[in-house]
Amino acid sequence: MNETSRDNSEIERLLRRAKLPEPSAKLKERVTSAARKAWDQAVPDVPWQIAIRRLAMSAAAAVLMVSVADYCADRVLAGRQPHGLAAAIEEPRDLGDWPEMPYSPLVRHLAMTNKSSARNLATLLEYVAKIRQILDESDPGEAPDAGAPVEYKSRLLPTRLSFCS
Amino acid sequence: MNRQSADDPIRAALQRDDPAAVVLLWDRYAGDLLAFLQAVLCSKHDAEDVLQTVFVRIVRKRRYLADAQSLDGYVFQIARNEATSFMKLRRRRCSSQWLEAVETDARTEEWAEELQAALARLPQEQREIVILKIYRDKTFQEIGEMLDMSPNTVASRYRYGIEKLRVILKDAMQ
Repeated sequence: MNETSRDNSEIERLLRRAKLPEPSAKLKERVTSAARKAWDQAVPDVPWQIAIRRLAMSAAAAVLMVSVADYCADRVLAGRQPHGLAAAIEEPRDLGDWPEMPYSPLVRHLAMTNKSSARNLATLLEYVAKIRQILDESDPGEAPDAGAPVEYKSRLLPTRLSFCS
Repeated sequence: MNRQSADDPIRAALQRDDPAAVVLLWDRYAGDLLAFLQAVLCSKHDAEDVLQTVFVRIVRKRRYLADAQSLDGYVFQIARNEATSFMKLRRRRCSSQWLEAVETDARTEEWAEELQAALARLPQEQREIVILKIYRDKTFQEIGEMLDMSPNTVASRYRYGIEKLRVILKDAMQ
């Protein structure tokens, strides 16, 4: 132990046979003039400004990350569909494509009728013409049978007589 | 004058936003910072360049420095960051002359070169402490405040450094 500490003291003594150069006057001039120039030019960092700047940067980064994640999710979904993103969001045309759809004939018929009548102009016109034809049939100007009950004159409209009665 | 009271004129000048703080900072820190930077970079020339950058950085962050709990800790942290950035950019190994012989005879100059090579082989954290202790006559307490570590850590790193130097310089000592 003593020998080690003696050796260490010897090392310290040997180390002191060298020295580090002190900063020169030339270096002082160079450094202090650069520092003074920076002092005059730079507005010193104010803590609250830095906090606001960091907050704004964080918000911008968060918005960017969410946008990128959203975009990537769309890309991944589109990649899994054979016809891209449009195919991914398109409703199945055939009811058989909906696995959880109740397959009763009535539901199927209603759904198909609803779809076709709503989207097909020709079907709509046909439907209007049919209504008109029914109304024409029930037109009172066509010499109705006075003895017949009014309910039978039209299948669609309630009769005035029945209101009056 | 202890270190705490030596802080006062610097803090006062910084709070007044007085450019005279630059000279006060120079008088207080230039020697220690240059030694520290030479210990990190093993180059006098690079250490001088980084010293200039450190002072410019200190000036830009003077508001923080004025309120810092420890001036020494803040200044040396800036120096460490700048030295690390410099090393990442240059990736230069210890090479140039940075130790000087006390005497001008050939034997001492040769010895200074051997010492320089031996110090360069120490881990950086040990080299910093050995140099501040030997060449700047700092106590473990002062070095701990500068480098933000406990005096015990400083002392143990110093001891490891000296022991490693003893092994490296074994042949030269005989």
